[in-house]
Amino acid sequence: MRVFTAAFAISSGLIVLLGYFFQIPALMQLRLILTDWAIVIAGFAVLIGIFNLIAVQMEKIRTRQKGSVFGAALVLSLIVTFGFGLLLGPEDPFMRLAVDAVIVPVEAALMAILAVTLIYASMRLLRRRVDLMSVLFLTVAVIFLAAIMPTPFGQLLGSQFIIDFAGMFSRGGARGLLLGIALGTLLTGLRVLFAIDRPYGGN
Amino acid sequence: MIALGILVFAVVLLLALTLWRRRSPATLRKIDAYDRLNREVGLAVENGTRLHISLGRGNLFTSRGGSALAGLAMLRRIAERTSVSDRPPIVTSGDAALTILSQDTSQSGYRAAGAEEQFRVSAGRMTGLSPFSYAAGTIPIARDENVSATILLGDLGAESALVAEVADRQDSSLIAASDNLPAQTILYASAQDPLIGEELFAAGAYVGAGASHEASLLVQDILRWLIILTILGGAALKFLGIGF
Amino acid sequence: MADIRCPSCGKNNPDFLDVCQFCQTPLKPESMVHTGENPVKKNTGELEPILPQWLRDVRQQARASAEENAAEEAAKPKVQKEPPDLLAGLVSQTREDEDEIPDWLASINPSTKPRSIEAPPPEPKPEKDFFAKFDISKPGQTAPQVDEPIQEDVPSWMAGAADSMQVHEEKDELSAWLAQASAESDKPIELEFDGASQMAGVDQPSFTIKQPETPKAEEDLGWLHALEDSSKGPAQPSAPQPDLNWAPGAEPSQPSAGQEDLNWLNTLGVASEPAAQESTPVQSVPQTDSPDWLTNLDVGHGMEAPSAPVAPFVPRRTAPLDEKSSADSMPDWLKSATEEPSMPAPGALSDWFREADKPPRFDQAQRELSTPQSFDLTQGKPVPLEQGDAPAPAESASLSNQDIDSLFSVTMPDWLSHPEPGAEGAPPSKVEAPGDEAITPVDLPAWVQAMRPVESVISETASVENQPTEREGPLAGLRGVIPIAPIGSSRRPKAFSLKLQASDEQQSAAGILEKILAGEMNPRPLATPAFVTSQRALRWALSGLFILVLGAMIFLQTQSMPISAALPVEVSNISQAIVSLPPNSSVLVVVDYEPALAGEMEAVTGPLLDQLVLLGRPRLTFLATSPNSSALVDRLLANTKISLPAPNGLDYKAGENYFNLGYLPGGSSGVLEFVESPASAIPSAGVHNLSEYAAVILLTDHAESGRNWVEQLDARKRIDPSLANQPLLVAASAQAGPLLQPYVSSRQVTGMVSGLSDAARYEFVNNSRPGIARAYWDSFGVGLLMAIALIAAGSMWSLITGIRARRAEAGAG
Repeated sequence: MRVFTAAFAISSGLIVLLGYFFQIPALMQLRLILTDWAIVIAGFAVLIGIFNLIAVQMEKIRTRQKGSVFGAALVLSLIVTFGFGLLLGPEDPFMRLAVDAVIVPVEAALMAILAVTLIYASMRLLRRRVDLMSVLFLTVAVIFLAAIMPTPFGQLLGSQFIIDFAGMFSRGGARGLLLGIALGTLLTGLRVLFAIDRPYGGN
Repeated sequence: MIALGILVFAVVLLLALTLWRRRSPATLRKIDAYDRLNREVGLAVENGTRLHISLGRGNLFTSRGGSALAGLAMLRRIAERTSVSDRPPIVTSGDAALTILSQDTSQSGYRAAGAEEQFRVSAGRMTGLSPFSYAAGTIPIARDENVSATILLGDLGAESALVAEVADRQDSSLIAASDNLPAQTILYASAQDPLIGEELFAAGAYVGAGASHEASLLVQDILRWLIILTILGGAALKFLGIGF
Repeated sequence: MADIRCPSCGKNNPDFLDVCQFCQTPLKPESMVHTGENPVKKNTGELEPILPQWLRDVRQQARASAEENAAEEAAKPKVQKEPPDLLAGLVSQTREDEDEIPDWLASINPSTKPRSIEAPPPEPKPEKDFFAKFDISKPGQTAPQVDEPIQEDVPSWMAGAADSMQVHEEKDELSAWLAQASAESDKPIELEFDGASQMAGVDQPSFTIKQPETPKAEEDLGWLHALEDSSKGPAQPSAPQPDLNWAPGAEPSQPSAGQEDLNWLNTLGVASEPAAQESTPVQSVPQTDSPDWLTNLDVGHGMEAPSAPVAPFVPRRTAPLDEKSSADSMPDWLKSATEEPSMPAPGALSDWFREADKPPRFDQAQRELSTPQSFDLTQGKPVPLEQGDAPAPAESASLSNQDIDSLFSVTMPDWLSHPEPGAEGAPPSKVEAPGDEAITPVDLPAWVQAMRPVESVISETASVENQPTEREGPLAGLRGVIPIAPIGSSRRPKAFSLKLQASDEQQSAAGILEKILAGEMNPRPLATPAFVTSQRALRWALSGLFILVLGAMIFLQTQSMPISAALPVEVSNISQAIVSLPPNSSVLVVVDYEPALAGEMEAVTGPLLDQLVLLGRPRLTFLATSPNSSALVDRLLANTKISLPAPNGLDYKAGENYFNLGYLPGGSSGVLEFVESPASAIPSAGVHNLSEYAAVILLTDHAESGRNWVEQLDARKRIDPSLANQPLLVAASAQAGPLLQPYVSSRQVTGMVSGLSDAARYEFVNNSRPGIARAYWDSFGVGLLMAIALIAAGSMWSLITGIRARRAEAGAG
């Protein structure tokens, strides 16, 4: 079985990969078919993930662990939303109300907490780790914030120069990081493509 | 075609260096984060605490799936080492397919350790489909499950700051790495030993996932130097007015 | 002796055997044990016939002698308590057959009268029977009557037996002589000096044994005399004797008199006297069938008796058990049984050790005999020790030494009396057996010789010649038997220090481990975190500060922060691209941001969409590449006042002015598929080619999505020339803008508005429509100012406190 899965994974990956490089109609057609299959499987994987989420929360409710109340609220809200979505449709004003009144505000609040968290972490950085890079990090961060900060007097003098100059290094460094990440992603994909790594089991 | 040539070249290098590394293992440079990781794995087993491993929300259909696969390779080794622990590690993710893969990988680790009966499906959980809902579902695990170390390895965004904050409140160790630059910036200020850039993809080599991981690092270095040379060469040619 | 034919094999067996000596078949039916049969109680007297013949003879003789003794005791005036007759049970009540008691047993009590044996005269026994030689009891002899006084001393439980003894004539003779012996217990014991004591080389006080009265001895020990005579006969190998014929010189029983039966006892007693006094050999008894070893022994003793001859079987003469019984009433050999033990008591032995230095207490006559001599076991005579080996005569032992020496009154072999001459390392001498080939010594191989430990020991020890001769103890007169090893030699084991060799680091680690182990038993108090901590308080403070300040500014809708009118280049490009779009065209809007960043994205996208809708009234087609984004389209249009009805909004209606295609799965593959064939990817798109869209607007909060669209569109443009002029406009959040800037610089992206700052400027130029960015602008500025201040101040505070804490730890540690 493991050999079959490995063989199927390898063949699928090679077909899709070669379909990007070679404009052969049959190869392209196979790529589209395989992509469609993957999309369908991913859709069902979402359902499986949701079932897993429900199962974990139900187990927490059954064993009365800490936070089981929130787990019950999660399961209840999921059932209600899913039910109304099936009955009313996603365009129904009730569903829009759920998005506008619940989902977006909650995540926006988390984003706001993130801002406070980042400021707090920045404040404690030098207590946790005192080195040149930490000091440089904080210094550059403060300078950037000051450069983009609007003031009643307009932008600060030299803010554009700071943004361009410092941005040059930051963008260059980011590009380097992205290149390294791209290389790592490439090699990781090749390992999976040639079944050297088999995250789908049997490894 | 250049891309295809680079791809073929990378494949050949990878296969050849994998065979070579099997005979002569590589000497890797010291990365404090992975040293801490290995130590935390042992301490968790000894103390009876658990590890929290979060693979992020990387979609396998996008390039962000590469970091998720790197996290799975690390998960495989950690699951094998912590199979004898009283409290097995909990693996969280923000993608459904990644959750299924994490469960299967954990089971493989338990099977390799001969403790497959210890595996529980609830060890792999999907905590949310959106980034902040994923973070919101991960925070209670890091806070209430007697976690001694939190390992964030995968495609994580700014929401990783919330998880890092919880780890800091619980005085638990945090080993985090992401392919997302804003997340790297945030984790640099939050984690004890931050991992920057492609150090995320070195996790497999540092936890002993196999010779192929060490070979991948070497191929990355080779290709990086090729890119550097190409960029410098192209810049020089452009500077000299030689267009292409 | 009558033979019994075996019923199984048919061979003859002596009558005293119960089972055949050849096939082990029971010879007598009464001796067979039948399984399953219940035991039948029988009178012990009825068991007499099943006894072996020889035992019956002995018993008969004993009874006879006991009767005689009893008769003598009855004649004595003094009556003493007799010990209980322990052997009374052996007397049969219904003894009818007249068992013949051997003479030697019957003549145990010399005071007994010549008895007559009631039992019929025993049949002439063959020579095979040992006891036949001793059987000198006369036929008709009866067991001595039990003495009256003796019966009085019998306990009540034995009265019945005593009565039976009175009734029956045959009595147990042993009880009688035991009683007699006890009466003579106070009689001094005289032991005879023998040559064995001379072997110790120590002057031993000797003692003599008083000889019993000759007549009685002769009478009682006739069979002993007979034995003696037989032993003194010619030393000729006797005829092949049966297995039981071990009694030397025993003649067939003479029915004449008891004195003849005990002649051998007399001879032994006579032989001991001449052995001590005379050097002449004892007259030997005509020997008929005595074994050679006894003959030789006697000859040896008799022929070569020295001035102080020693007989190997000189019986010990001990004091009689009964004081009143004369010494003559007890045979010598029996008197020896009642003598003091040769081995002294423990106390006496210790006294002997203490008195080792004291001069010996022995007679002068015996002093001469106590000259250090070694005893030649082979010759049976003492041999004078070599000069120099003789211990000092002054060193002697007490009486106990004689006792000890008397233990060795046996012939000692030469190997024990004389150590092997020569060194041990000498090659083995040739041993020549008489009449055999000489045994050639074998040269030991080197590895065998190396295994010999004796050499290494001997090499460190003195040679045999240099070792002193033992002067006392069992090895008196010998030397070199136990090699002397130097005390404190070099073979003492090397002393090693028991102290554990551990370094300081190891010891410190051991100490730490010990503390850890000790701490394991101590309960540690659980560290309960306080509800209010400094960290939590700081977080609350920060949160409260930001909420209050920024909320107030938003509520007040202040617009004190000026906005610059200078647009960035990438923002200008967007404006120019929108102006160049044809009216009522189709524009694809890709929504790819999460609900968390909806506020920012709406502020960033608002001026772009507002200008687009105001200028061209295009048909907007929204496409989401994340599952949550499709639900954000309506919110976007509502907040940007596009879908609001006039006059507040631009009155865009769903399904008429804008369309929501929903979620596009597959990530990059889905984008590729849509770019190649929109209808195949999403059939409800209504277009067959991407070129049907006048522009593509990408709304994203992460660079990955922008990169995907950029890459796919760029690759498609290379194939489809109609897409060459299709602009790609990007509205990105502040975190994705810098990462997409290279695409803008490379003109793969036509224009990009990134973050609130660009959006505010773009909105200012767009006549401040819709106004979301302007509303956030002042709060944004104040928030940034607060963040800068808090970060700077907090970092400085953390730096100072961190340095102070490390100094404190360094000072304490």
